[in-house]
Amino acid sequence: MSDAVDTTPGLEANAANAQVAAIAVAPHPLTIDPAGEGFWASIDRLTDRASGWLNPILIKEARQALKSKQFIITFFSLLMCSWLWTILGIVLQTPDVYFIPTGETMLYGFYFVLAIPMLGMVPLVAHRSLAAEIDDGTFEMLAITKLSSMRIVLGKLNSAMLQMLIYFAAVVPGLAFSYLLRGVNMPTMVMLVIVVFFSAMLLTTFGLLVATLASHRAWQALALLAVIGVVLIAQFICGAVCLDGILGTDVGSESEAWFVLAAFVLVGATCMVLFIKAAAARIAPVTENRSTGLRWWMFLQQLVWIFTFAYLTFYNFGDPGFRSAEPMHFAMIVIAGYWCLMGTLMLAESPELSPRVQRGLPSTFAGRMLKLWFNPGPGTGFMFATCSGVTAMLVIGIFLSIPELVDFSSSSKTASMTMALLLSGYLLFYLGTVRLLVMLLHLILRRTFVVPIVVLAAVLFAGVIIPFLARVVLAGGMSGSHSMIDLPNWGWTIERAFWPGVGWEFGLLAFTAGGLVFALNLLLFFREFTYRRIAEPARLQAEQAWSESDIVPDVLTPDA
Amino acid sequence: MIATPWTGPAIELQNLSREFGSTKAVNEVSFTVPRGSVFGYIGPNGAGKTTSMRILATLELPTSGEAFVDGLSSINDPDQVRGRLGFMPDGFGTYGDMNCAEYLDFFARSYGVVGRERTARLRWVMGFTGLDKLAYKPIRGLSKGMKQRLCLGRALVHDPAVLILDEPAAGLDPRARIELRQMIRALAAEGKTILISSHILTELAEMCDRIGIIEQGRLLATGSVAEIRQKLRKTRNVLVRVTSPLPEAMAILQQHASIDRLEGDNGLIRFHITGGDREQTEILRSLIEGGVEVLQYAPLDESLEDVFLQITKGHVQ
Repeated sequence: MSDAVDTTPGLEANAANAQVAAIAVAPHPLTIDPAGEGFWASIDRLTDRASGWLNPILIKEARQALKSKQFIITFFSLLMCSWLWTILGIVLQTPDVYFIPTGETMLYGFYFVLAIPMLGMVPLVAHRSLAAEIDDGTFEMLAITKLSSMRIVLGKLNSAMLQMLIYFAAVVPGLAFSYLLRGVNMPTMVMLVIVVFFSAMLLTTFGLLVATLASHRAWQALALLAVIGVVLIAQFICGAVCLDGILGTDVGSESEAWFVLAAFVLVGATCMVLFIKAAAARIAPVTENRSTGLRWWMFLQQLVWIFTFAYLTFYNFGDPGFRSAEPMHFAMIVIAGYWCLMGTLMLAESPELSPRVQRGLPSTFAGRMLKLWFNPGPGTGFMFATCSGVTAMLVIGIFLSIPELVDFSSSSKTASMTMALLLSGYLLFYLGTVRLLVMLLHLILRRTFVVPIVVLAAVLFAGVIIPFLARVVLAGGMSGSHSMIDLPNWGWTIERAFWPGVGWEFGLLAFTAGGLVFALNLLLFFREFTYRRIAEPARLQAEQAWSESDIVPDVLTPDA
Repeated sequence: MIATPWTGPAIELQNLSREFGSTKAVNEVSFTVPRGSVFGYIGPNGAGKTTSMRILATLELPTSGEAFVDGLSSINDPDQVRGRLGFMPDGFGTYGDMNCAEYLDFFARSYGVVGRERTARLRWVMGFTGLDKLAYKPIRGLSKGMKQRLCLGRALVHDPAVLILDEPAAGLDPRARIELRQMIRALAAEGKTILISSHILTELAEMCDRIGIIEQGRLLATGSVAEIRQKLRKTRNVLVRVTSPLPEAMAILQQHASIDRLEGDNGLIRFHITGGDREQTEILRSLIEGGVEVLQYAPLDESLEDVFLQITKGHVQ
């Protein structure tokens, strides 16, 4: 500032210098209490007070965004594209625009104008924003403030949502214009906007989670590539759903479409919360309990999976003659896959519980009985995943096998109980094997989530390739017919379970093999089972008592 | 911030160790810093200063041992510790596109300082660090010294009771160093507990009540500079001014086994004595008995640098 004052020549420059100098000595507005009389002064005071409740990250990011070229270029490009399409769309549809409804065609163009920044820019910017904090070393400065890891992640999400709203505001006049041209009804338009918004939020939370996975610059580049890949795929899927599925068929007035959307929003919302919680857990202090909250959410998410599939199974979509157990069988596959992945990730947890975590363990016998599997640790994680998954699948299998309860006119090729046993067996066998191998590998390798994931991929691949090799060795060649020897090949066996179906012996054998591996895992010592709740240190209790009352506690001396 | 009336040490390290593979960055380090005092943490590069400071600042976990701030564990209760601690790291990232006022405002909000308290704190911090004239300036345009001030301001914005300053004067010009030293003195006078590491030992000696010398992860000595000098001194640096011929005096001195590094020139003799007061008086007696006219006989005060050099071996890991 002072340099500018010294070096700018001429009379005009002197005036400019005086202005700059006046700014330089004037106190910054952020250092002045909002004062004064009148309506605007009171609004100023009110907003200042309200800003104290806002997430500081949101305020920071908003300030940064308003100064950033990226945001300004994106926003004005969006406005320009919106105006250009308005003109171009009318020109291309002249003279039809005067006589027939052309709103739908206009909306196609506005979809692209809205979707590209919402589904592309916003998730990538959110991802880079968090990754850059970690990379540039600013995250450490954030980490030592009073902001919790959840607030940091939510702050990033909030600023992404703010960007979405601003971009949406730029396209709203175009959407309104399309509606005025007729040819598209309001519910369809609302549905389109909901899908774009929700997909953008889901992608943003995914981007934030991926940003927390990599701390090294090389891994961050890989993470960015992964996010770009997912964003591109999502653009295609969302484009197909919105343009063909929603706009093309104008489904806004059909109740079935809204039910499917509700199911998507429900499942998507649970995924979003899981991503946020996982991202917050990744950046939280290591001594914190970063697992129990996630496990409760996984448990809830499983219930949502079951509810959603059951709802879609038993809701007949206007065709009372068609009912099949196959959607529920598909639900069982989702549950088995879900717990296999989540169980594998939980294997990366440390069996050592910090004193801080131990303070939060259940204190009563009943509490320990009911909540033991929710405690952090790879052993409890394995038990939690297998118990949750197997229980859910067996309950579904039993439920679907009672003809008095369900009546499927179009039955599936494999009995529901066989399907439940088969998938439960796979979950127990593969997750159990992964756990045994990971336990061995952790003797020589550092604990990281990459090790269990790599082991899982290797074990699943071995499950597919070994039966093929066995066939080559035993029979001297490959065969297209599925038999008992192909049972470890989970992909082929599950496919056969849907068509032409597999017999009960497949389910029983898979469940028996899985049970044996599970039993072997049970024999191994679960270190984290031995942990018990410990008392809070006196100093911390005193601190809490102090913060809750005005009375000075006696224990605030080192001796106490 | 309202602090509890905790009467124990503001900072306490108990057998703190941190290993990186086979390297012991911090090895069983224990010390306490009483409330309201300034503790200088000195040691060569790679001695373990930054690691132990980062553990205290809740940014890293130790392999074993404990670290407390105001009696609260930095390891198990980091959220409790963070509110009462201001940390200024050696290298730090800033948001280049923000200006100084926005940067400090953001951190004030992040520490939960809201409303009028926030504006008051911002005014004080900007005035104290001299950033009020640069409030509108983008951070990327600040000099190194100004960035250091900004980082100190960030560490102070929530009025913490304890400050941890890791090499705050590194890379600063002499004027900026003097100004920073004045600021630290002012903070110490306000009653803040300060743990500071620096390579500029003369400055530390002036501003610290106590120091800790660390090398290869081990804490070699703690106490005031005088205490350490007293406790660990193996040799004394003595200056003798004589009026009689120098060779005579030198010949007498050379007979003493406790004398080392004997130098004489222009009536002045310097040497090191291995030993204590007894050896020093014996040497004086032998000079006088040998007929040497002694004008001055005084042990030279050792600077903190001398003490540091004596204690440390210059090993790096």
